[in-house]
Amino acid sequence: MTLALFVAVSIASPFLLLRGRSLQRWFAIYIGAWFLFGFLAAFARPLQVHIEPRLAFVAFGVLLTAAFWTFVAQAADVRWSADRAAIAAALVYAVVIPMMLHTAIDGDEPFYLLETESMVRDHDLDLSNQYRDLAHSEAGRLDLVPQLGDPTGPHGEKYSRHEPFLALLMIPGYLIGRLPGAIATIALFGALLARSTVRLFEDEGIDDATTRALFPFIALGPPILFYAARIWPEVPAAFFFVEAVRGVRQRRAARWLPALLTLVLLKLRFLLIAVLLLARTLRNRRYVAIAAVILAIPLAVAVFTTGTVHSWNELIPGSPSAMLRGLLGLLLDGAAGILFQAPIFVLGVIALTRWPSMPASFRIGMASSAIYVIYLVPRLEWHGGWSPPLRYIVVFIPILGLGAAALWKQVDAAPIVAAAAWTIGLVIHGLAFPWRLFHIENGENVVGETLSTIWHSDFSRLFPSFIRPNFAAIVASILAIIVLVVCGAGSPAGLGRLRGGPTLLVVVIALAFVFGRRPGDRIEFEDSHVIHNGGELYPHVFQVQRFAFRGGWILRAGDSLTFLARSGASRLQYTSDSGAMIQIGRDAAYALPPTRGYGAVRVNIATTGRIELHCLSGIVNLDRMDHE
Amino acid sequence: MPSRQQVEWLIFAVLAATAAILITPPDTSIDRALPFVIVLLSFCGFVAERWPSVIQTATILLFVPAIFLIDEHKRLLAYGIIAAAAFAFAVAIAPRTPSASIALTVAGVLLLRWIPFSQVILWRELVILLGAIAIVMTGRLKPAATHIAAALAIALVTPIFPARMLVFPFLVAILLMIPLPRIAIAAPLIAAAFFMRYSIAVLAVVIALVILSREDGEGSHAERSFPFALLRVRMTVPIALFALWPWSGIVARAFPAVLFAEPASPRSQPVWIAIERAQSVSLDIPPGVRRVVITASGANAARLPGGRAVGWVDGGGTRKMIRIGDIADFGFMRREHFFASRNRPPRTPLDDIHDYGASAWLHTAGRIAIASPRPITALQVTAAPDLPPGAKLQIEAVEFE
Repeated sequence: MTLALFVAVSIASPFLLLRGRSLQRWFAIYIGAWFLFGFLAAFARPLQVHIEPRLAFVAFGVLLTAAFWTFVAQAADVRWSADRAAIAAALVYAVVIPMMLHTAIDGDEPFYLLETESMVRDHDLDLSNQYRDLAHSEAGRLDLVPQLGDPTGPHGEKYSRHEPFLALLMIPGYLIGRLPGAIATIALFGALLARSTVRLFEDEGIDDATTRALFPFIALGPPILFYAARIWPEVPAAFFFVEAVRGVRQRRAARWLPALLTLVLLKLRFLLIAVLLLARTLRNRRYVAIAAVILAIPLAVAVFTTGTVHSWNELIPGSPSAMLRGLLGLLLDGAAGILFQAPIFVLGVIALTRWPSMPASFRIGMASSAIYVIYLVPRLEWHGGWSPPLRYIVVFIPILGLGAAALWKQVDAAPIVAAAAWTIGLVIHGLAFPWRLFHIENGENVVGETLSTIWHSDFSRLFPSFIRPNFAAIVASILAIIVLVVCGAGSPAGLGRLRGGPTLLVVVIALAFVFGRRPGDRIEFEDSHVIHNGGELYPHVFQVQRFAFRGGWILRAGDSLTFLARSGASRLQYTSDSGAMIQIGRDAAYALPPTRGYGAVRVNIATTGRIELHCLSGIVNLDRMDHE
Repeated sequence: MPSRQQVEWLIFAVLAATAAILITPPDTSIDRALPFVIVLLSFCGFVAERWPSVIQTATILLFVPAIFLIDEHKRLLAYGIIAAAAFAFAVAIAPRTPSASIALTVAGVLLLRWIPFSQVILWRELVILLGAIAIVMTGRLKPAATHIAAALAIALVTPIFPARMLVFPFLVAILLMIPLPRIAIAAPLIAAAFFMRYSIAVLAVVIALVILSREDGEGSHAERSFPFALLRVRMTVPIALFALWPWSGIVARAFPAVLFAEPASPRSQPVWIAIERAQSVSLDIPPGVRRVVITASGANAARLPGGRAVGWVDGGGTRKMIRIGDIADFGFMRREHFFASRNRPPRTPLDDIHDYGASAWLHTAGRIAIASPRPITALQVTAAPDLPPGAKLQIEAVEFE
């Protein structure tokens, strides 16, 4: 059914955006692409190429969509407007929704849905009976329990810590179409966001060609694509934020006032953005009063509905080191950073270095987000927690997109093509394997894990991680600062000096592959490059806030691990209540005394290569081993 | 003095090829030839002149299957698709000059015919290369993509054994120059193909398609209209076939028969008995079996024409003839034997592909089913008494249902 929907959308979209000879040429390409796909599919069987059909269709669909939008960006006979762009985005989201529903909703999603169901059925926010009757919930999750920090009422009521406004917005959609209808509400906001983004670009004088080129990255790429088809407040918040910025920029209170109010009603954390935006509007006492109301209403709603979830301690941002770690992590982390999860928006970050020459809306939007970012980055959960990547910055992704648009014509094609290729890969992966959008915070990422699993060597260490900081993170941070300084200090034409990028990329890939196949200095025993024969992960996969734990692998007698290691002395860190005996390689056995907390022993690896660590007796939680 | 663009492409080609040596697993001849493929694509990018970043990025994408895909066939097909996409893009954006067309044709021929390197007979391949260039230089095929595709198609199917067939591309170039309507040349070729032996019919059909692609005028208004514009979709055929360059020998000699190939059944039991003329062999049948499928092929039987009886199977009270067309000489699609062979592919060939690149060939065993309403108690396979000396009927496997 999803395939039929895709075919319908892919036929309708060209009529929406193209005309004349461009329309004819596109359909020639379209038919040719389907023929090509069918031909290769027919040949796959005799060539004994076995590809999962879902993955093949998703890859083809994404590539065809990417080709279409590339064509739209280059074509002459184009029907382009904000409304048409919104409809085109909505059509894509309509296809993405059933793909996301391939697995059950996850993260905070089911709890928003429970709130909606409670309001519809019980006309209250008490979720007690919802938890008792999960079998009749559209969430499809029988394992749901109140989340950490959920408030309870005086008579045992169970409330959600999530602000109920999103759940309220989903009621009409839920009544029409249950869970898909609820998600369609979010997708509707996605379409509205697409429209507002195009209008924002038009307001700031970005030419149509640039808008059409950048539009698919913003509306149909990560992170917005994934959040537009899932129950999170991020995409509606992004829409309201863009509208608020536009309203402030145009000095139209009728636009920014309701937008800001609804932004903060969605999530109290957006109050940090609203405060600065409001400050721009304070021209007289009347506006001060409006500002006070905008701040007071959501605060009151939050206190009334979520009770004691939030505390005054949250007003204290965090240590400078934590802020630096979170900020660089948001930019560079392999699993949760812009560079790897939405690379085109690196241009938006670079745009920050050219502040004076950026469009006014960009400066307004990013300046307003400053306090929000300052409070976000030192949090342990800066990366978004159990959610698709870049959750907390989805709200100002369109603003970053505006910065990218302002620089678009100055940037050489090479990095854009590379970013496009990577983005296509991310979209294919996210749509084909939607459950993999949720990644445990263990310092690895999907690409690193995949390579590590294939080659049984630690490739994850090559990707910067700020969740479990590694050497690559230090290198990446230094390089990023250099790049930002160079881009900021250079002339506008300096960005065009990013030629030779593909050549450099080839060298990087080759060196990374060669280096990645060699044993590392540190072995984290929970990682995917380690071959686990028995035992279990610590903490378990769905441990809440597992980033606060030291990950490891629990071994019992008879269990073993196999991994690549360097010869020589190493320091093995572990924890064990009762002690254990392990054997490394063929000859060396080590007694691990019981520990309070974590302890360490010195071990010797006889030869560089693959070795086996065998637990002979006892129980031990192995954290890591560092080569000395 | 080389230009900056030339130096940039040279550096990129050298570094990317070196990276491929380091990264690519040496499992197959295609993997080992990846540096060569990268150099060819870099050359195509240089010839195209525009959008170097796109072609360079596509070239880099070749590393993705090398690193991520352990499954051999999946990896090779990924190479094929990526390289074909890059090549097609280069052809689409290249300058419409004879030198660019010739350069891209050379690159395409090298990709289709010069892998694996160990099988290249240099002088023969150089003659074919010159023949492909001759086709391009006729200038009778437009647009540029069409004449490159046509030249590559001819180069692909041209046999190098026997040596006299090396003139084939030059013959096609002459045919293209003949001032007769396209249909007047193509129609007899297609008609004759029905009566020719398979190995020659393939050549006739390809020539006919090339002739039909020839442009005989500026094109009428009707030809520029929307329905005719859709005819450009036909360009996806050569792109799709080009994407199979890791098995270019299969495309050249086993298309479309390979589409009907079926893998050996998991229930199939190997037999591997070869019988000469008038010899017979009995096969034990488990009780209760009503259908037996024999996988059989010929050996030293490539000269037998289609329909020729090779033997028969007696079982369940019936006799079933085994003819060329049910089976074939097992290796007649090898490039050394193909043109001289008079066989045609079995209706249901075995899905068993050997080797890669231009040397790839389909093991042309066929499957013969014997069914009976009563349980079959015995099966006897007999080779025809008039088989040529040395020719054999090979019983490769048997499957009971």
